Amino acid sequence: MWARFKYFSRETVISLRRNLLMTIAGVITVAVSLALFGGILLLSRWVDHGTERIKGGVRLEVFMNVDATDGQISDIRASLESDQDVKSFRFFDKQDALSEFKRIFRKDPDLVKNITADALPTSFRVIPTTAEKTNSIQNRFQVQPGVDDVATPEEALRGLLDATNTARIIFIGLSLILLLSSLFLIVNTIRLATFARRREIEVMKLVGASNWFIRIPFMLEGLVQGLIGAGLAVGVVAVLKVGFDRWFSSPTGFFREFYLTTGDAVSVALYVFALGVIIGLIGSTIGLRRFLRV
Amino acid sequence: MLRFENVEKTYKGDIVALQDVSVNVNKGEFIFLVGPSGSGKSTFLKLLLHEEQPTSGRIIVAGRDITRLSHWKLPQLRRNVGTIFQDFKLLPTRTVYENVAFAMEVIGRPKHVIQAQVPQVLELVGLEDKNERFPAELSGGEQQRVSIARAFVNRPLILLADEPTGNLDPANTVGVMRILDRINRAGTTVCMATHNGRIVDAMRRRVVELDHGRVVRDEASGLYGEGGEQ
Repeated sequence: MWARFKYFSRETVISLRRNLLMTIAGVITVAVSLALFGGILLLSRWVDHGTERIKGGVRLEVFMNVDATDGQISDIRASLESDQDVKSFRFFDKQDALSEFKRIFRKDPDLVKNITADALPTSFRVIPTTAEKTNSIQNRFQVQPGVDDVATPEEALRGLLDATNTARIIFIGLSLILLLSSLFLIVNTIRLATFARRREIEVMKLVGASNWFIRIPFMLEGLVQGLIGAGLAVGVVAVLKVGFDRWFSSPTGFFREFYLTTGDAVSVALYVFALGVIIGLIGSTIGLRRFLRV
Repeated sequence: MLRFENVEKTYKGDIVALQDVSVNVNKGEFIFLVGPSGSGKSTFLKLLLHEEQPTSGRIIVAGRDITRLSHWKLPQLRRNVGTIFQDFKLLPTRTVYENVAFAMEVIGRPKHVIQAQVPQVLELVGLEDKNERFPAELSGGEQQRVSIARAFVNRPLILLADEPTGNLDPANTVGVMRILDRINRAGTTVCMATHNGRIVDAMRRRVVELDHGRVVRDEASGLYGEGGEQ
């Protein structure tokens, strides 16, 4: 077993070195395309977090006064239920408000420490039947007793959502093209490697080496390229995650509701890694196809 | 050990290579396959290696019908059948020792077995003092002996030789034939295609002559030309 492992790793390293330029080209393309892919996934997650409410269709938030009575709250609930223009709504109690507050200001532990649920207002998140009704609902509820304010999301946020959707499509398209070309590069590297070693392969077949024994070093060669490329791309994802945190961390700025969790970054990194492995293996399988038949 | 049963092989374009060939070779036999170019000798050997499949008929190698061999069982066949060629097919970047060891390495033999077997086989072919040489530093006869060592190191039941002396001078030819004879006497079935009448006449072994894809002669201890006239 150990002897085989040594044989395979030695053959793989020799082959990678022999085709050094092709190998580097393959690795770089894999890295760039996967980094682009990972970057766009991260951006999507980031925008998703920031625009969760709009995406859910929430156009209005009816904030109650902090000291609004239960009676006032149930009055509002009743009139929302009977309102023709309201499609649906959801009530956020003080506890919900606190956890949201903690999320938004998670970079500011001092602020979070000094806040209690009591100090926060309850609110209703309202989805109107159509977007056009937003303003009339706002006007109607603004004046109700116990209501502090009725907020509508900034228009800029909607524009951003549209822009990121377009960007997402373009970048995914770009990264797909790059992924495809990195696949072709790996296929080509493996073809060159088999050509460089055609005598060895001929002898191996002649003396009865099993098909897998012949193929494994080449599969490993493709896999290694995919892995190194993916590793570089994971590095880029990590840098981007830190970057997003740093550039958009202002608790009051336009992007205050945009954030990335470590979980987001880890799952994106896993996708990138898996994709790198898949590209490497598929590339070498295609590159070896002519050797499937002995 | 080897049996052709009414084997027929037609290549694309209706080129008939073998027609109704039936040959039975017992374990330990040494047979010469003779005949003019294009008579079907190469096709005969290719069929034995499963490089080509017969159009009809059956081929039995070591008790197994290889006519319908699935491709993942092919390596097993090849391990039972050693092959040497006119052009040696040695790896130029590996030494004599490495060339022979390679054949064991790639079928997954453990290192200590390789280290024990390779020197033995190199001694058998008389190259024990040329371990570290590269093929380019050897004479043609020596290269062919390396390739015999490589074909024999995994102890195949059958050794196929396709014009093994085609590129060699008479002295080297004799050396190679001595080794093949020795291997045969140790129990390996040898099947050798050749144009070299002198060897065939000197060895006095079984001769199977092919012409236009048919067996025209099968003699137990024959000469190259019929009745020794040529």
